[in-house]
Amino acid sequence: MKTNRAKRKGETVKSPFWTFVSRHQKVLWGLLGVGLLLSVWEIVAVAVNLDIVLPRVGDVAVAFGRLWTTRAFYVDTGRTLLRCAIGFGIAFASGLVLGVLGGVVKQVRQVLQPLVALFRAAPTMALTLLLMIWFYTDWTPVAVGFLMVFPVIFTTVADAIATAPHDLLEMAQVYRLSRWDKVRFVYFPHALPMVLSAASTAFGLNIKATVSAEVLAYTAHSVGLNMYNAKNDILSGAATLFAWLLVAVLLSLLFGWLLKGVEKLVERRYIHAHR
Amino acid sequence: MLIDKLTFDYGTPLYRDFSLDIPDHAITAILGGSGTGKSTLLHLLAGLLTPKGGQVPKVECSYMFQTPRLLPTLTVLGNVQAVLPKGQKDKAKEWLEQAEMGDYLNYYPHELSGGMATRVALARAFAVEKDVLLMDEPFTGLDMALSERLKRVFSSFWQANKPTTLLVTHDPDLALSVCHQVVVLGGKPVETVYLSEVDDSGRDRVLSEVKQALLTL
Repeated sequence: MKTNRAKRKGETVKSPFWTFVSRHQKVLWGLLGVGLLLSVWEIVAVAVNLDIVLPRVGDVAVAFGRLWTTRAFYVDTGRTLLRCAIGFGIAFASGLVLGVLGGVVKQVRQVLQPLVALFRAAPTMALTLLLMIWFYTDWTPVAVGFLMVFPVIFTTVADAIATAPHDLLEMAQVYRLSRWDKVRFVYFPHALPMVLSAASTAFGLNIKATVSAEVLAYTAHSVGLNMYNAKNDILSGAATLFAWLLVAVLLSLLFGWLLKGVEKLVERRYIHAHR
Repeated sequence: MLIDKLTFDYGTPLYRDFSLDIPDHAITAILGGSGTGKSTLLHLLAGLLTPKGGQVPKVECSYMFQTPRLLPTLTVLGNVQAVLPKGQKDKAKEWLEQAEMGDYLNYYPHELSGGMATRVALARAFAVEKDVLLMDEPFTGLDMALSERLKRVFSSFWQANKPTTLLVTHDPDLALSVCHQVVVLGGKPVETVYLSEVDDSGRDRVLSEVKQALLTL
């Protein structure tokens, strides 16, 4: 106790303000970044002085606030999210199953590799145009989302299976662990952080691609179509378009955070951050 | 346990018509320079590698690897229970207590020191009660005092069932202190450079012969 007191005497006592600052440094730096961005935007908007090209921050805030008062906003945003979820869900499930097969059987991966490479390399817009011919406009964004997510999940899962710790697999073989135990105790803990991290990245990509596809496919009841309509609405200028853009960004951020949260929770609970 | 005319290669021949008689219910030390195929021999016996020719006995064995190789998501207790068949899981706690790990049953591998993890691996290797035990540099990288304590734990465990044990080491003192037979491997392809039984009366002589054999490899 004495030693602690003696130590404390020599230390400079931080004020509550500086304690708060040092504890929340990351958030505060982020807020500073947002502040700078908004300031530059406002300065340029005032200089340009043309709402249809670059609206002022305040106008966008008003337009953004107005969106929340309409029922259509919730319906359209909800349906966009539903499309994202369906595309992501199908891509995740199929990427998981085929990724496991691809990780275990090398030939399966080799057969699927050209398709995955095609999905990865083909421009999103070109794919959307093609898919518009094949699907109803409601399903085109779902299919585009699927094409964005599937290669990420498939490749990650296949890599995770193929790179499972060889030393633990040898141990499992010597001690005759069952196949299920190998999955539970060797493959799963190794693959889980990789797959969760990939899923988190893929969901952000998914939202971007789905909304882009909605714009191009004029999908009814969608964030994308609202953006398209806002672009053509000369009276309200670009403020509404920016407001919808903000909605898409916030959705992406929100789900990105949610998935990161899930990732951390699962890692802490099952993986024990040890390796 | 007889290894008969074993042939194996990694591109260049490692073993060609290599034979070795391993006495049952005894501890045989395998010594030799780096790259003489000591660990490969254990892998072949464990069925982790397949010989290109000759006969290697097919045995159910337990294996203490160079590193503890514990499952990261299981506790100390879980790691030992995982290798035991249903109905025998209770044995895990007893073995761990004997390995002085009774107070750490709910710890995870990342929370253990190197010595503690080695103890868990030792308890796991003995808990399965196989007729053959393979050990690859089991006490390497530990300080002398800890190594001595683990040797004592190993000896008391071994006395319980006396499994046929093959212990790969580069340490002649360890080989002489716990083993009944010493084999020194050398050459390419591998051959037995030196083989001797160890008894209390001739220990010093065998030690100097082993050291001499290792120096001439």
